[in-house]
Amino acid sequence: MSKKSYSHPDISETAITSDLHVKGDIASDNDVWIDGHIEGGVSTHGIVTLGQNARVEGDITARIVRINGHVEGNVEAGESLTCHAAAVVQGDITTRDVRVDSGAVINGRLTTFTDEGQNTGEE
Amino acid sequence: MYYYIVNPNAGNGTFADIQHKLKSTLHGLGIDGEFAKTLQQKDARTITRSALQRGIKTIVVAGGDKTVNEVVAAVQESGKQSVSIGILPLGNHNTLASYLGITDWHHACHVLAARRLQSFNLIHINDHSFIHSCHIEPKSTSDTSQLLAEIDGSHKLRGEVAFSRVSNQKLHNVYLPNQLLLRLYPHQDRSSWWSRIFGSAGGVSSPAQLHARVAILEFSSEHTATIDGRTLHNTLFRIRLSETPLRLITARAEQPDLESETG
Repeated sequence: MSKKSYSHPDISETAITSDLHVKGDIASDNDVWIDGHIEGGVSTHGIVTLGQNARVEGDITARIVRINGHVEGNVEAGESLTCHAAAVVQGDITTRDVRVDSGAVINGRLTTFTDEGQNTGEE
Repeated sequence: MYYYIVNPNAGNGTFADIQHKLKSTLHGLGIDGEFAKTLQQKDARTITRSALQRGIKTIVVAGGDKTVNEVVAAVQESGKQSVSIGILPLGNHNTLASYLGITDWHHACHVLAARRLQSFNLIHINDHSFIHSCHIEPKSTSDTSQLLAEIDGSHKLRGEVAFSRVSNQKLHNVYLPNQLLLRLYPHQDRSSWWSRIFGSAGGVSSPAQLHARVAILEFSSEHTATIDGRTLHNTLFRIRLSETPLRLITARAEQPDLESETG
């Protein structure tokens, strides 16, 4: 048995590390951290976070989405979306509140909406 | 009536040293009962079956993890959902008692008297069952560990892992539902991936973590699964939660999902 020390995610979080490759859809009620490769969609009522090594080939649906990796698919964040400097999104984004850091790349339509569901802007 | 199954060899004979104090404490709390001692391995399972046939509703295991697991397995096999299980942690390893918030035998007496019940599902791995955790690693340390995992039939996962652990997430946090918690540990020392995301100092490895009701783990080489001192050798491990939960007497105060009752 290994005696190395490990830092563990919160018990309820799903964590896909950089050495893992997933095929199929991940549906969760909890937060999802991704730093690996996923060929499929990701949906949760919680937070989805993509690290620098993350590559998601599918749609992402969550309350809050934080991206610092690659996404080839549409992203829908009910509350907010943040694209950090290393983010690359090839797909449409729909969210209420968006923040895009310098260096992030978005190739797709960006749609924001209000609580009433009205579109407030597109790029 | 409480029915106490005692492993007299647990914890290098702890029971012999404390039995008078223990019985006095139990009597003072109004939960004294019948005692049965195990004589050899697997006796706890036989004694449990016999007690269940007599209609015993509350079984308390005085021993360590191995004895607890024998009793838990026998109750599960009986299919009797109305039976409650308590623990007096007397063994060298008292992992389940620790998960349930029970610190020592004296504390356990008061926990038994308070009789706070919570339901937990067993985990089945191939033809074996356990309640708290299982460690899976390559049989030979020189073997590589390519893993192909199928999770809930919805997605497949592959990668290289050093070792894996399986447990019921509810034992870690009683607010959470009964669900398999799979942790897949990486081979090399790697900085934690969230520290890489946010650029903070790393140096500590982080496992992948998945939740499921059913998981099939297939390794490229033979692996050893260690469950409460028992070992299974295989390349394929079919893991699932039991259909029916067990009722455990616990010290955990958070939102018990079964009401306290008298036994």
